[in-house]
Amino acid sequence: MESKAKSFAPVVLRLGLSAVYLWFGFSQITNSAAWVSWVPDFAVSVSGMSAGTIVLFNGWFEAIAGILLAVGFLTRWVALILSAHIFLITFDIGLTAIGVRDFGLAMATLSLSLFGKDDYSLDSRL
Amino acid sequence: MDNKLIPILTGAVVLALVGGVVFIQATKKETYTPTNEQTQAATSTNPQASSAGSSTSQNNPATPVSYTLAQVAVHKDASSCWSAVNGNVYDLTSWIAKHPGGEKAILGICGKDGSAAFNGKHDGAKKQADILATFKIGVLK
Repeated sequence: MESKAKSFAPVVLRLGLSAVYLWFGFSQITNSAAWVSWVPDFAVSVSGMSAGTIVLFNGWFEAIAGILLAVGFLTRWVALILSAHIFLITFDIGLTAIGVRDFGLAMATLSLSLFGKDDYSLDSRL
Repeated sequence: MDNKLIPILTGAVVLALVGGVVFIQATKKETYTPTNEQTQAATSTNPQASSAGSSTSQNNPATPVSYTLAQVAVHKDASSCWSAVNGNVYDLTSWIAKHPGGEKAILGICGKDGSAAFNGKHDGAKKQADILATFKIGVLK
């Protein structure tokens, strides 16, 4: 019973995180204007793109990564990249309620990366 | 069942669920336009702003509309949510559903002076201050 429950833990973590990233990705794609004010100034100056374009790129990145997590394809690497992505956002936001919450999200994603594939991921069936 | 089908189906279910939620949220969003009451409140405290919109603003760009806390208090729920923060008045109605920290945080300061709540959560954070500035409708009298 305990080992069965344990085997579901990474699946729950993976699917839960994929839902989070999919929601943020889709939201940025469908309503990018609402997210423009969150784009840091350095991202605009370094990339040379407009804030709106950065939001769209970020949205597609998070949506695709969310899909990959949902099916469990390249789980370790996708989670590692997402984790680094969220750590960067956390650092930019700073020690606010949102920043601390993002820190938790980044740590959970890092944890998923460290675990890698689970019994129900596509990775373990290829 | 095919061995690879389970993760693909699971992923498709998650994708459909989240996609559905985002779609529903997107269709529920309405473009916010000031109500007659808000327009009246703005004009009653600033007669210069009453003579038809943009031309007046162009004539007096430095004259902010001012509101009393009593006027702010009228807009105390999700249908019309105003809040005073650090001496300015903001119409946060359209921001309620978008606030990354949740709707409750905004609903809690509707119709009130939300300075303590805002400063407590976001003090010194330029990004949040910039976002708040986009909702400014006037100053507190």
